[in-house]
Amino acid sequence: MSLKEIEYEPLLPIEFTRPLQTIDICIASVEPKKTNDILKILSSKLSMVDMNIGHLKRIKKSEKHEKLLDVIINTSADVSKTEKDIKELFKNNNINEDAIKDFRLCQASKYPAYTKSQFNEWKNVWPMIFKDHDSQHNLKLSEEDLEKAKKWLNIALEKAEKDKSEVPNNQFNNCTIIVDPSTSKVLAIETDNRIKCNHPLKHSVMECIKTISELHTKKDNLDSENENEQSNKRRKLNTEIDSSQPYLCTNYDLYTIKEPCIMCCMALVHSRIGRVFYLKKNENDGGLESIHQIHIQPELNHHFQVYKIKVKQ
Amino acid sequence: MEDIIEKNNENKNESVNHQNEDKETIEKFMREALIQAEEAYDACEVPVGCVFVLDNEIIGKGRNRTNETKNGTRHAELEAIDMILKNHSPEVLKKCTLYVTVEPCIMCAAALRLMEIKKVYYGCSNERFGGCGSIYHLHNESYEIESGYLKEEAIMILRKFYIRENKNAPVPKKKSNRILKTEIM
Ligand SMILES: [Zn+2]
Ligand SMILES: [Zn+2]
Repeated sequence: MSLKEIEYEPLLPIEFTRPLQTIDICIASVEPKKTNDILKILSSKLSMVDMNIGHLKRIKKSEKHEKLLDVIINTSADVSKTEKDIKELFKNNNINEDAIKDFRLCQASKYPAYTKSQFNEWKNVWPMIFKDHDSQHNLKLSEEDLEKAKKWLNIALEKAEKDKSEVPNNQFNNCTIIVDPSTSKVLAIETDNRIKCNHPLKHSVMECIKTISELHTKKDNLDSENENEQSNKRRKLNTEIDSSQPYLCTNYDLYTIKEPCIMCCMALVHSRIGRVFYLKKNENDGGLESIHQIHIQPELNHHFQVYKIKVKQ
Repeated sequence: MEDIIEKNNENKNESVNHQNEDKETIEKFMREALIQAEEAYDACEVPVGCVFVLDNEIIGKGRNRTNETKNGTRHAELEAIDMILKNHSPEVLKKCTLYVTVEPCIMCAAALRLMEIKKVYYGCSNERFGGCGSIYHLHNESYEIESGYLKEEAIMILRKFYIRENKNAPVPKKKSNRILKTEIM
């Protein structure tokens, strides 16, 4: 099997994938002429950002009252209290309390829209402000990235296929490659060695991390040797890895056939991997889309980008 | 991090029951795990240690070795499992009980599930990375856990470690100190 035309799907944080959820907002209708004064008071006392609804527009044309505008007051469900408080506030600011009427509850999106399609759907509930997070998060892959993904995944598939003949009936057959994208150098390429070594934890991801750590310790040993003994090997290692970096896989790319399991995903957090590309879902134990989403788990101190690579239909 | 360990462990109401092993036995093996943690401390590694016990006998020991190996995945549990598998088949883990000073991280908690470990006793919680209750509950439907044994000792040695790390930092760089503090395992 060899990949020809491929496409990708970034595995995104919940913000990008969540469906519409609404909250109650308290609104009232105001005369357009008085709007400026009213908005000034409202935004100083009840700021949209403070109420966690900075993603909503404050004002829209009223559908219920012709020629009036509907304005968001707050997110309280107690309409009569809100009405009382606002009228009091208006009185203190010399605004006629008749300028505002019909305090009522209305629905709006609870969360900001992160994608255009969320925005197009959710703004119908109540008008929203849209910030394009897609480009901000830089989750788009360039043509070059995609070409590289195809190249490395094809190498992984080839190596896994070869391993099949060496280890027959291996239900764990897999191959992982870790690449430094700044040099395009392969730092580790490993198959799943659970059967070969009779060791249930020798997954290809763990084996790759081990290989890279050995490059680091070797390099350190060579570095401490006499300068005269500087070998070609050392020079070669020097160009491949930077052992001064604090974490093993910082900014590295990982290509693998199967979605890494939970253990391997957390090992990648501990190693500070940059990006992960994979082909197949791991239904039973996958840590990126199947069971957990470890790469975006908010409580963890490192997050990484994940791309699921698909064959173009 | 010290704060986090403390807060988390104070807030937790561990119900310590003694279904399988009696308190004396549990504390005896937990002391062995602490000896491993001390060895890690002496080697300037994050002081976490563990022992695997089969039929009341220790068959594997391990402690954190992430600095020495330059491999952030070389936690006490994985070190000990590798040691055991040199002399035993993987099936032996199904009959083993693990005593570890700190709640296994997500990686180790998942590894223990893959090994089908029978039971895990741990000392203090691992608020940052814990896979047996703190962040995930990876033991659910797989292995039993009990926590809180020699918890104070487990926390004390971690705290001692962070104080030393901070003192030894040549220039008190705020950021690097913070990173260290949060890297409990
Ligand atoms: Zn794995
Ligand atoms: Zn661990």
